Amino acid sequence: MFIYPFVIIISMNFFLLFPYYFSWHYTRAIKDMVGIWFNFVWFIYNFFSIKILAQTLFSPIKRLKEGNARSFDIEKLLENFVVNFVMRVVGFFSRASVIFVGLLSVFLTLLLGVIAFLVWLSLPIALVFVMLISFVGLF
Amino acid sequence: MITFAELKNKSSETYPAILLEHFLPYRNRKKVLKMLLWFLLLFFVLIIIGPISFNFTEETIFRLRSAFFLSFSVWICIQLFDSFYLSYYFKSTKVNFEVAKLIQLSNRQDLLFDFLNSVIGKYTMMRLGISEEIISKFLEKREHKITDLEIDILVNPDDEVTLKDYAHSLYKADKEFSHFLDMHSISENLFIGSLSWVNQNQFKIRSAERWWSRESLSRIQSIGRNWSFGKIYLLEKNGHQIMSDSIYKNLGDKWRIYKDKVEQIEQVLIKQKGANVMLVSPSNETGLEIISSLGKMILNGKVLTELEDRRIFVLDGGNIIDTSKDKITFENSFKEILIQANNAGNVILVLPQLNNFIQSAHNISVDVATVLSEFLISSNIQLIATVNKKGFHDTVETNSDLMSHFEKILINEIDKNSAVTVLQDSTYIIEAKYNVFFTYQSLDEISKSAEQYYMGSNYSDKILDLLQEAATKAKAEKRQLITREDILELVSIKTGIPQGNVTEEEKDKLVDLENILHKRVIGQNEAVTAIADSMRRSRAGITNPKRPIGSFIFLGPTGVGKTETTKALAESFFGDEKKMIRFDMSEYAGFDSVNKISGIMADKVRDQQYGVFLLDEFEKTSTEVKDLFLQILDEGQFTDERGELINMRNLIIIATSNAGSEMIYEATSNGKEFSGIKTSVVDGIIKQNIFKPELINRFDGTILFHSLMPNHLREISKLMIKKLNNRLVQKGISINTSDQLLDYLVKIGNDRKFGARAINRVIQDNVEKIIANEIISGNLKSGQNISFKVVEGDLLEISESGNIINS
Repeated sequence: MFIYPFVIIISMNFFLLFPYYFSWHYTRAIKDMVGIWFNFVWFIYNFFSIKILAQTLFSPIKRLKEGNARSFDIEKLLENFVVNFVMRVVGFFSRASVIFVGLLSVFLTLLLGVIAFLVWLSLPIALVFVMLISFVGLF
Repeated sequence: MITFAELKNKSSETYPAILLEHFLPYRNRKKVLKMLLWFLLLFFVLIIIGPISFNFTEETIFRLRSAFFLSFSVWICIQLFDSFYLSYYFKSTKVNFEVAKLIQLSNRQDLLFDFLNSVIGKYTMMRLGISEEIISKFLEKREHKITDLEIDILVNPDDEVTLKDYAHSLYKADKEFSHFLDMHSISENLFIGSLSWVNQNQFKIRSAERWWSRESLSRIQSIGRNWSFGKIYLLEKNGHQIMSDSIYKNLGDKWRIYKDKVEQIEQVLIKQKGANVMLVSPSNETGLEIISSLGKMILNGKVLTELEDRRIFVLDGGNIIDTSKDKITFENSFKEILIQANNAGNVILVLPQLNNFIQSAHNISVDVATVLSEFLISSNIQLIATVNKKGFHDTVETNSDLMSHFEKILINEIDKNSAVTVLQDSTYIIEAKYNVFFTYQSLDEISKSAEQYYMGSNYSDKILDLLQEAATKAKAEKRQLITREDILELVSIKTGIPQGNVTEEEKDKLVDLENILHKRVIGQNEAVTAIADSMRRSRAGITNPKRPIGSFIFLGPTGVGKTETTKALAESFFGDEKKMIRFDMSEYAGFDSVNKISGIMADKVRDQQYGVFLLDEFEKTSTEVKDLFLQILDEGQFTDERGELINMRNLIIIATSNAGSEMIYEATSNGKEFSGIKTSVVDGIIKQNIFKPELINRFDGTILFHSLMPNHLREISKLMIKKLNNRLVQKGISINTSDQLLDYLVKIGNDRKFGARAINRVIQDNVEKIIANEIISGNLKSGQNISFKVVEGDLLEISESGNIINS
């Protein structure tokens, strides 16, 4: 910030852009990046509905279930029990698999975030390097 | 108020991004990025297929690879600069980014030049329909250039400086510029409106680039959530999904209009418990349209995550009541439906016209509120009730227990400002589709016309319809530019109401309106002048658009020309005597008169929204109807029994009354100065409680019609004989209008009570009778004239030779 008043006084200079850029790249941009990174983790967590699936992990799929028999009928009771059990098992496995993929994605997002952060830090140098090499290679 | 230097100092925060804009502006960056992507693709393809197809050498391939990586690194660099720019663009600062850009890049010697040459300035003027050539000429010819020392930014020092503030200050400081805009019929509001539109669009485009924002990500549909929700076959039987509703199917692009309201509903529905909405709207259809818009946004995955798996069901309450024979059956079936919907866990249940449902249930002694109570506090189900304003006040609002569980959202008719916003959003889509360009004035006119000429549930449809139709029309005529005049022409075609500039023919008619009216109306100069003035004011567009074109109360005895003046106006100005809606107000004197008249009035005005609205014998109607007209005269609209707004703003309302005719007669007979008695006549009417003073005051003019004197009666007789002659022309017969005949008619027909009607009766009883007898007896044939003579007070027919034929 200390540099701004000087800039206003002196005329605009293209090369002034670079110190501004670098100062942004290593301060405000990193702050922005962390925010975006959290946005992605939050998105993946919601995209795979992890919270709601975990809460209803043992519920029957689509809440399908047979009602209780009105009179005592052992055969009906057993039948209901089996149906409800199957529904819960189906529900459990389908939910568990989505939760698993979701958590894996969250983990990957976190990991990618770290990588992206490291890439970001080295990006200006890397870009200058690639540019120089390819420029030399071109001519 | 702050100075330019202070503003410059304030705006230094975003300087780095402005510096980038100076050397590599946003649009150029986008162009370069696009170009680089093509290069990258080209290099990539050449690297892959080059060695085989073109026998590229190792060295060529190496160079191509270098070129690829060089382009790629430049592409990354520009992307990084773009992120750098966006980061500053969206930073919350004390000065709007565009203002900061204008200030920082200005050379301070000519602020208007800086503005008009900036991207935002150019777009703003383009939207106002002013070409770059005209602007260049104006800039060249200016006498004075506004420098940084001559402008004060009209804001509080602590407030954020918006683009509107800066534009307003520039407009005020540069008189030449404001004059230039005036010359092009651009007011300050239009100028700033256009600027804001361009600015908002820029902001939206840049916002869309930030796909990583939580707002954008939260609107992507997630997976697996619906596995957790249950079946609702009972509800499917006693209701329907919103998607299968005809209102949803006909919604089209209209959901954009309700976006704000839907977002408001979203905010209520995401609450943990008791998230129920009471939509109080002008009509039930509007309520369902808003819910359909929510449904559309859910389907498109454009709602908040918490609501994305919701299913909206519209309950058919009437059906449940009809199929249930008694209270117990109804309560049980209704409860079962609610339990199942509640267990499903993702149902938004719509109760359409809740007031009617409550009433019908009440008829079989069921209290809907009690049945609903446990579900209203459930976190598994949400309820949206729709109710129109009348139903809300009459039935729902009084039930405080029920209301405590609902959050009321009031839907008003879209006003002009929201209409402009909706139009602005839809314009870009229509422009891209039809390859046309709307000026800002054309959008302004669409919203104004929609407000003026369409009301009620049609209003929101009409804004989008007009936009669409204007585009289609321009496309068919192979034009690209759509201006205000095009919209006026379109509205004129659609409504039959003359718009835009006054045509030559219309101008002649308006200037000469008094004489045209006097061809049918004898005397009554005051009334004729008042009406003619009102018509000219209306057509010049200087009347209050939220009131009827004109409103008059005509006071005077029977048969002096009150109704005739009204008819003459309909004929001369609106082109046809039939352009008149006439009510005999003595028919609306009973206890149910308001309901009776409002229904009929609504139907008639819907059919004919432009013309004369005549209320004959206004004094004879009930007080309630007179009170209804208090509102109509003031606001130019009323609500019919279905809760729909009816537009009366394109009508001239004329009420006629005999009240005070005694006084008028006496004054005329005694030769008193007519203008002097108006106050005493009006006072007399108020004293007798015929009209309330506030009602009389709401009329644009109280016009007194004087009693007819012999000279008037003579002129009227002449006119009536002329009319009779016109009818006889078809039979080849004509009457010789002699002084004797006219004298006779005036003498016999001079009736204080019935005015000119008595003349009409004398003509019927005497002149027409003789002619009819002669035609039937075969004495009067085609090609013959008929003359009359008065002998000893009797009217006698004379032959062409002068002999008396008939008595």
